[in-house]
Amino acid sequence: MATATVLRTESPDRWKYLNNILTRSGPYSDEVFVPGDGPKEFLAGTKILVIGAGGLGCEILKNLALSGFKDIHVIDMDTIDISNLNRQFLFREADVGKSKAEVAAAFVMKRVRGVNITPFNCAIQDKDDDYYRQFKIVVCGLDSVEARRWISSTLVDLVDPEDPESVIPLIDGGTEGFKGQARVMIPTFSCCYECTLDMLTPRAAVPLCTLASIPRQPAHCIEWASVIQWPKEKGDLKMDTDDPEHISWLYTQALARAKEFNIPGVTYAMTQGVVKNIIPAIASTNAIIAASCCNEALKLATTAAPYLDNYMMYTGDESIYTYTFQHEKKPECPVCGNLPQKLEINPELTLEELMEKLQERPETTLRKPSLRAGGKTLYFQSPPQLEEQTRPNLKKKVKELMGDGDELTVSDPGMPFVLRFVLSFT
Amino acid sequence: MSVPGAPTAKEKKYDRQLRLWGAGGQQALETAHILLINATAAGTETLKNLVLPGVGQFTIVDHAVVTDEDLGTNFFLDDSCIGLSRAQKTCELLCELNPDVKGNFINDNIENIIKSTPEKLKEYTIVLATGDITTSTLLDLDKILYPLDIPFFHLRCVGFSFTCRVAVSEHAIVETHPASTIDLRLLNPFPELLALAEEKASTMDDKDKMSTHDHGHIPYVLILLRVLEDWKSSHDGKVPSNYSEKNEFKSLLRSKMWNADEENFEEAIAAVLPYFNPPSIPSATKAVFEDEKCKSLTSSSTNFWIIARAVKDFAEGKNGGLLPLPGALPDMKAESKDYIQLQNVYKSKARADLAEVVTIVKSLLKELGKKEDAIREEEVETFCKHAGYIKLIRGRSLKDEYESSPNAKKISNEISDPASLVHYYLGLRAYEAFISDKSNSKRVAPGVEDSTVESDSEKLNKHVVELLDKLSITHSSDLLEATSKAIGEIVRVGGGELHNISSLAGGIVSQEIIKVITKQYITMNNTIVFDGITSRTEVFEL
Amino acid sequence: MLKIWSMKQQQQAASAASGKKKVTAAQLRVQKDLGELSLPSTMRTHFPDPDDILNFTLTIEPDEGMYKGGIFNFDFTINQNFPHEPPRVLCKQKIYHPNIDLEGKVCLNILREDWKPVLNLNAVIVGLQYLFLEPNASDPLNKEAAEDLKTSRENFKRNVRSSMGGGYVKNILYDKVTK
Repeated sequence: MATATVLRTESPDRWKYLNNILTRSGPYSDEVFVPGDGPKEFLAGTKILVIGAGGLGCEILKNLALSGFKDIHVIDMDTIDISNLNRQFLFREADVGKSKAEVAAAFVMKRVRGVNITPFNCAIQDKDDDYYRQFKIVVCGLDSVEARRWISSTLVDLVDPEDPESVIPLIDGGTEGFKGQARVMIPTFSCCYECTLDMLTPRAAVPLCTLASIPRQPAHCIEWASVIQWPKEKGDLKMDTDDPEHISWLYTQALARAKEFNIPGVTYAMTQGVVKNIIPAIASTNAIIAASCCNEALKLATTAAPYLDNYMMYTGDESIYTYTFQHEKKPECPVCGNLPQKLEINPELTLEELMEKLQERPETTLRKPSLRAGGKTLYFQSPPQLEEQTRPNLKKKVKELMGDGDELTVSDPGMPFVLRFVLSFT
Repeated sequence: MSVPGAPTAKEKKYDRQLRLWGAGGQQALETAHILLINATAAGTETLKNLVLPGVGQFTIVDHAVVTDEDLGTNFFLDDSCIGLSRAQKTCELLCELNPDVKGNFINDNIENIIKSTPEKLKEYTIVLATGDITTSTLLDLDKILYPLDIPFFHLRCVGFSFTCRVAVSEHAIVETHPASTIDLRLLNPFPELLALAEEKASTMDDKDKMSTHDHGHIPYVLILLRVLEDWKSSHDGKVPSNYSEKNEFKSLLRSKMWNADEENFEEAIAAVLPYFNPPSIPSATKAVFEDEKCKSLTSSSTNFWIIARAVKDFAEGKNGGLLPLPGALPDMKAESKDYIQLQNVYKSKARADLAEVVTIVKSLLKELGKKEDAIREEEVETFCKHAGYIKLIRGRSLKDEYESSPNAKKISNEISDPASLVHYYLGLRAYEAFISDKSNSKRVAPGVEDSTVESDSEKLNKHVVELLDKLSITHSSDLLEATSKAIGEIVRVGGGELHNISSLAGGIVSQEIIKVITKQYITMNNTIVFDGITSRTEVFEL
Repeated sequence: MLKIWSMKQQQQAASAASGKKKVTAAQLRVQKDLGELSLPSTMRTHFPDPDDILNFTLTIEPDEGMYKGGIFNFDFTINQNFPHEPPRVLCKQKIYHPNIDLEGKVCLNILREDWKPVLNLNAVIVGLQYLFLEPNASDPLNKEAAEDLKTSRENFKRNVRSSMGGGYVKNILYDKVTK
């Protein structure tokens, strides 16, 4: 009976092949690799975070569990939708509406013995620095630029130049149809997500006036319905693109508009695609990209083989093509191009005196600095109304305006980027 | 309230993939039957990626019982499966993924099936062999499947690398999903198009006859046609053909702008280089036209060849070397009604071309003794829309590669490049030779014990030398250093799979299988090699 | 080869800046953009909460052209995806303008199809100012206003005056935007 087998102790054969690459050196092994029990134990003790439990996330959780990681966290704020089931293989029809992170974690723990997965049904922004600091590696399977920018800059900010342990590699995957990419970012050592923001193709947008007066394509009619007609007819009611009634309304409006202009081709599916900005997604591409990410996680955690430096693009719609290259770090990157420096200041100084001190610093060429700290606008030289609003702060003491450990950001029209300091009160 | 056009439950579930391969592709997938030989991690992962999108059915042939090693690499097995049939257990857990898919298993060796009931292999749409399968079994399968035109995939996944070979004798793709099928016919406009240009753009230089607003809204296609007529009248009826003439033409366009922000003129200028090309039939389409199967149709010709022949006759007949017009028009600055009118001119021409091709198809069918409506008009239409983008892949049987190796030169060219993945190909071929060796009847993998790593590596290196000698490829120990390193990595893992690499292989192979089944997108031909250390792939035609 | 961590698990470094508000890339960029803002005398900003630099109002008082004498307020909403995404700009009053619709949406290329991360807030503000100097009737958001401008500039001017005073134009009541 099955119950008897479940109680068996784990056989050493289970991880035989994984162990082989950890206890044997290969011709391409990293020079710091010491085969034996060390890498095995390190792997088992490595705390790893997975962001996203969707198409990529489900694959990533499975792969990490079968790569010897034992302590995995996963964050996802989404719930399961019927359209996820064609690829998010840890979910069943009965799970629709439940938390992705929770269902995925429970499934993988049930299937792979000895792995512990801690789910969080929340936004990544809900967690603080201390939370992220506990991980050795972060693997992302996200579909949002904003979330990627956030986690990338968070990990860059966690880097303490004095402490190599504070460097948390970020492995990021993304897919679209038959294409995808996997990349490894070592905060402050290699390019960060912000460095490569220019590579993104902006979403093609149509002029508002085309929508309003000269529609020519079915998509123009759909966008007209969602961008112009919805706020006009529905007022403050927020559009919910997951609400079938809202989509139906938009579809009906778009259809009527298309009829008026003799434009063929508006369909329900297209309406959904345009308003939700749906990106086609299939199991196979997710599998490729997630596996590539997890292969890198295993290599990073064990040094059993060199890791990807630092970008792999995959294209599967015309034969199979991969392009592996090193994306350069951007010197003027606003996130990793200038890291916060420590600034020791006397909290009894006034803001005005602090600004004078800053202007004396040899590395800066401040002429008209504007300052923010701890989420507060301290003093802005421009625009004039903001200058007026913040002027009273000049006479206030540093300790009244900011706290020890706060980040101070200083901009100046004469400088290409914003200077960042972490305050240390003397 | 149900809205007309709202998706069915199935359309909702498959929405994200229907946006790629459409209802036609889905239909093909749902009627396909995949045979997997050996439920390895890579094989099972491949099936997972086919079960999820709703393949019709699959069958797993495997005689193994589940071991602890399986549990460390295969997600579709758990503790309760130990000691039970691997075919059955993986089949059961895969079936949980999608109630629409039928799973079958045969708890037997493929060798027995080849011997006892080879005719049963005819039932499958695709066959995928994985695991430690020997060369002779692979060749036996190839011998049965290749003549039947059943695509045969062989996937070998060891440690950080894998290779996958597809043997398919002929694969014709109509829906290749090109970035665009736009053919504006600017250099050879049809009469209706010229008439529209005359109607809408003939007064474009006359401020008394055209308002500024209208001037800024002439569709750029009509601007180009109009200005081209002017150009031709001052250039002996010739169109701008070289780079400098095209630039001159662009300046001419610019001189006709009434103010600096006329987007339609900017669009016209930008269209000169991409669209001012003399009409020609692309080489891939030409290759189909010149194929013997196109030239001499028989009663067993497939729809593809009959339609291809009709399109060829259409193009080479009175259409003066032009393929049927696809009819697509890009978006452009224009008033709604003018754009729709222009779009309709292209669409009408496309419909007229289609009607002619349909007539030819019908007469061909009649000649072949078939019913005139044996081919649906939709199928002809899809072909006509893609006539300039079709692709025919002629594969090679495994037997041809292994025994006569017509592309051995490819290997000898690559071998001097230490970064080439041909070294992994050779290493994995050597692996296959190792487990196929008659003295190794239990198919013990190289490097199973720490103590055999060195001697087994030596054996694999020898197998590579034998293979190269057989192919008459010159080699030296210098050239084979990279091969030797690849072998080092292959032997290191002791013959097993690493889950990540198996999963990656399963992703790539399932993607290829979907492309073959749906006859959409362009399939890899014929060998892919992946190296997980450098995270690279290479495709070789061997 | 970079050796990132030693293989031994080490004690975690003491957390220095825990619980502090994170400065986002969008905020850094807006701080820089605001410092580079050069507002002419016809424009002013208002920050309801000076600590929140991502949300503010811009007031434009054209001193020439057909809209001279009007006071126009625009809400700027900048999200965390700035500058990957453009700022959202909405006119707070119901005004008679061919390129601004009755809900306040503005048809300005750099606010939508031509936005690029290299553009800054100054470029947007210059663009808005231009709309009041040169309303464009060619591809309008408010079709009636555009039609009026095309048929008779004088008539259009009169309509602008009465709409700015809070009057009706063709059965639509506009907000009073003059002092």
